[in-house]
Amino acid sequence: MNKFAHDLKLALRRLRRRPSYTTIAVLTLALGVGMTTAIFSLVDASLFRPLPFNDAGRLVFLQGYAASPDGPRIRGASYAEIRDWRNQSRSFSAIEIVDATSFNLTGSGRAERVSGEFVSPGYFQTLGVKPLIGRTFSGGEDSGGGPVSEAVISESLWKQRFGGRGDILGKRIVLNDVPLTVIGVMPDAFAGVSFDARIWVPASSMWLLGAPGGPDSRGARWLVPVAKLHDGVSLATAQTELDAVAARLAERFPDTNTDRGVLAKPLRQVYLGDTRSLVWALFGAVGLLLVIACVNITNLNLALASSRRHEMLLHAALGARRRELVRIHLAEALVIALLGAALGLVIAVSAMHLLAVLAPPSFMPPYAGVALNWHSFVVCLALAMCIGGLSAIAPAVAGYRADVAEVVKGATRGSVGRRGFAMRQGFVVAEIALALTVVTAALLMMRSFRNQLEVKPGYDASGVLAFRLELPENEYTHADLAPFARNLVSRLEHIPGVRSAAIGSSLPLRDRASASLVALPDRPEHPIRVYRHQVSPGYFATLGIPLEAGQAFGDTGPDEPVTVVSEAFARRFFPGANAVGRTLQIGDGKSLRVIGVAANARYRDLTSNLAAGEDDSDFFLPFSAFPDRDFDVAVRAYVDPASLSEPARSVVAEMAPGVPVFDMAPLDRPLAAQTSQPRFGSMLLGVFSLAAALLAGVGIYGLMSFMVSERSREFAIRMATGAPARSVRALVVRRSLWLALIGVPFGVAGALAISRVMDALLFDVGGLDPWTHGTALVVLALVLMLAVWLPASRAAHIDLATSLRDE
Amino acid sequence: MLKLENVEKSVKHQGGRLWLLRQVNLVVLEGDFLSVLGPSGSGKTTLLNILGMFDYDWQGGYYFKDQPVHEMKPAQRQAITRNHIGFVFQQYHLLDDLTVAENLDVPLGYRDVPKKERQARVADILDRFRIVGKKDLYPNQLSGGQQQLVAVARAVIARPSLILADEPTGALHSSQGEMIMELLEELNEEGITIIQVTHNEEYAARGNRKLELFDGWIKETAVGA
Repeated sequence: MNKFAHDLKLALRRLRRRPSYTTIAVLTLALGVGMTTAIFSLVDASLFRPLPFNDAGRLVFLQGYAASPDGPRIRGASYAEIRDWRNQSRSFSAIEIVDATSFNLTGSGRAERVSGEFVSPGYFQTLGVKPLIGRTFSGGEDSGGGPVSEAVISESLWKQRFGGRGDILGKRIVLNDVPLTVIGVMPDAFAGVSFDARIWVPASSMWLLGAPGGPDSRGARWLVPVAKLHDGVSLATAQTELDAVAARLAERFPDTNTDRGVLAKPLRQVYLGDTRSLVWALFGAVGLLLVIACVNITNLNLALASSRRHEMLLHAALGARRRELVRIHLAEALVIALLGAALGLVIAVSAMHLLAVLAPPSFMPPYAGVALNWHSFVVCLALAMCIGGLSAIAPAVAGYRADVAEVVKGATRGSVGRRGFAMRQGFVVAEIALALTVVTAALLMMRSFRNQLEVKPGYDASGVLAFRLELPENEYTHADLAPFARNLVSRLEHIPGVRSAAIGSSLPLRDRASASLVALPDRPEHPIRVYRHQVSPGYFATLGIPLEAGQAFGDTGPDEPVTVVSEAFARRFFPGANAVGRTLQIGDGKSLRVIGVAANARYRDLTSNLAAGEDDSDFFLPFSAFPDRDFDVAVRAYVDPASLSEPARSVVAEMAPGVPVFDMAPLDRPLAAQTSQPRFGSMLLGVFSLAAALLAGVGIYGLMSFMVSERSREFAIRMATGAPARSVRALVVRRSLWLALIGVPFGVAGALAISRVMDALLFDVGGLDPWTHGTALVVLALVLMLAVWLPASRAAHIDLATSLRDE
Repeated sequence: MLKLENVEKSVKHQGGRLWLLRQVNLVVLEGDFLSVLGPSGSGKTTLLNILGMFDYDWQGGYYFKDQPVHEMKPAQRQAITRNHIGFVFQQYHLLDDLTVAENLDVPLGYRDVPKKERQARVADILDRFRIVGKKDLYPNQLSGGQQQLVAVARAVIARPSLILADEPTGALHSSQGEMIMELLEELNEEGITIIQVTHNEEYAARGNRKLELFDGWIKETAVGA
């Protein structure tokens, strides 16, 4: 132990006397370990951390879908369908309804909007959660019969709104004007499968609180139940059974269930969504970065071993056994590893802080936090230490004994031998290949992101403030809704700084959508599902959506049957013809006359193909004729829209005291949110690719520097015998060019492979895009040229006298 | 002390063999101070490498204290080197990252000498060679003569019975060389066998025997100064 402590002391001294090597080795290791730890923490949290539910591996979401030529389109399920699945399948021990929603909470204290879930009685038991106090819903509450006026609240809601008082059980609360009794409190560790719920209400009460349709309605589809597989039943078996159930339902209810099915998907898969591919892409990129870092360290150690060969031979000549030589190298490798690990930890912690600040909310699944994973740090460190340690002690293990005589001969320059040099060149080739792969992946993501930014949403989101209202049923009858809306728009337009205001059942990209079946009068038996909007007259003008034909609504009376359709709708229903003046039939048989065609706009996402027109068709109904008590409001301003938030709230408060205003935000915020994930992914990949390219540059710089040192005498002789400096420089550049030429094809192969994997993440750019691959080559070439130029210049300026002096 | 019987060494060269040593027969007694002379390329350093057991690729017989080195495994040879032989190089070959005291300590560390004894021996040798004041200096802070002094001290600190010195004064001024030669004489008087390779006839005469090599052959041996 004393000896090793002595070795460590000497190792520190030796490393201090080699600042370049030490700095590069420590920084390289720190970069690789730190960044890999940060990303692996995300990967672990997203993909491997257990979900906070009992037996989560057997929990699945059941997603109702509509079959289409492009594959299943998720549409949700109706209450009646879920009842059928429950009755007809044997694969699940439980199928529980859950519907994430939000409520107006009034009654005690100020009105506030609270997120919650409608759930069936077995929900809590299926997830394996127990209340903090009280109880959850009992079995009799979801018999398909009448609603039950009970609720379970979260611990935080209990404390914030009710002071955490012990008399909460039995307390009356009012949700959407419906009185409910609190029967239980859930601990804050549980927030439902939506990870956002603060209040739970029996599913049997959902229609009482404003849900569409009814318990027997098959067409009202929006629910996504959670189910638990029986022990020993595989997902594939359950899916086969569900397909058979869906087929039976289609036969029995052809009007509502034709081309309808259900997919059983593990919870994690649904939560991750598109993030899974991005997380794996990032993990792959940072993994390559770690490999490049390890290759660099190995190369550095090989070079150092070469330059210290004489010293090691001298130790051997003085009596050192092999194990003692190994100990010397090991001590230095340990010091580098510890320094690198310490700095790597700093990098990892800093990276996690930055990720937590910069990562968009949608980047991580709701159950995963952005926090350092110590397991991943230990794994990465162990990996780096193994590789660094092995590369450090390999020369010692190989032995110096056979060449100890070199010391006696007075040879002061060690030689790594042809095999060692070839190995180092091989490593550099590998680095070039890996760096090219990472750079290509990053450029593909950046290009995809740029394409997404260039997508025109079809409306002008700048300068618009949006918010949502839900008018309670006990205060506003159906007949009150249209006049309220008209009055609200008028009062908002009188606020100074407001250009115009409008109402819509859903504004673009605000995560709300309604659909209806629409048919042509001559083909009523073939209705098509399209998205429905109920809008006020100024809707299109306020959102900056131009009309391609016809006109928008005036302030029409309640019975005027008119509609405006989107361009995609018109192309789909009336291909090649003018849609204005044509007639449509909606679900209840009512006929509508098309009075206008609005330009396409992106209401639900930025990436779907509007030209396809299949399921991205929209039609608009006058709000006055088809009012809803739950609607969005858009206010276009001459000023900063955020400055209108208080005046707007005041108007609502005057018109509808006790009705909370919620989801208030500038309309461009959801637009930014849509691009936030690819923006973030591009940024991260950009950072990794830059690091990878720099490390590859460091690798080739190190090798070329070493080569120049080894051949300095040769270069000196060449120049002394007449060779111009540029020819010596060219010698060095040519050597590195060869390495690049060998590495590039491997890099291109790697880039092509990673492009295929990334295809699902890319928008409007193919994985084989030649422009991207070409740019990656140019970027890497520039980095490598810079890395080679310095040693090449040094070779051309060698001190002839020093180099030619006999040793 | 040691005996060589028909020791020969050759290397491959242009399809044939190049002989570095031919039919070397040599007996060195304990307490001898043998000087090996010869022009460049005569095989002096090769001979020293074989005697120091740094070179295993030769033919013939080599007995060290009656033990047949030519029949030993590498580990056995290394043990003999470690326990009995000290080496002084022409270029000193001190370890640049270690102080004078630490350089002296290195051979003791590789011979498993306990720490306290190592410290005592290092202190003794520093005192004996009158370099106590330089114990914390690094080699690049010493003159050539001082470095060679430290190198000689390093060679003797492990109390070898044989010192092999390859041109110990080759890189020194005459006064420094004189100092080193006096030191070697002193060590020889204490009973340490010394074999030195030298080009300097005057220094060669300081030993009690001379051996001349030419093209790998022993041309001449002489006894006495």
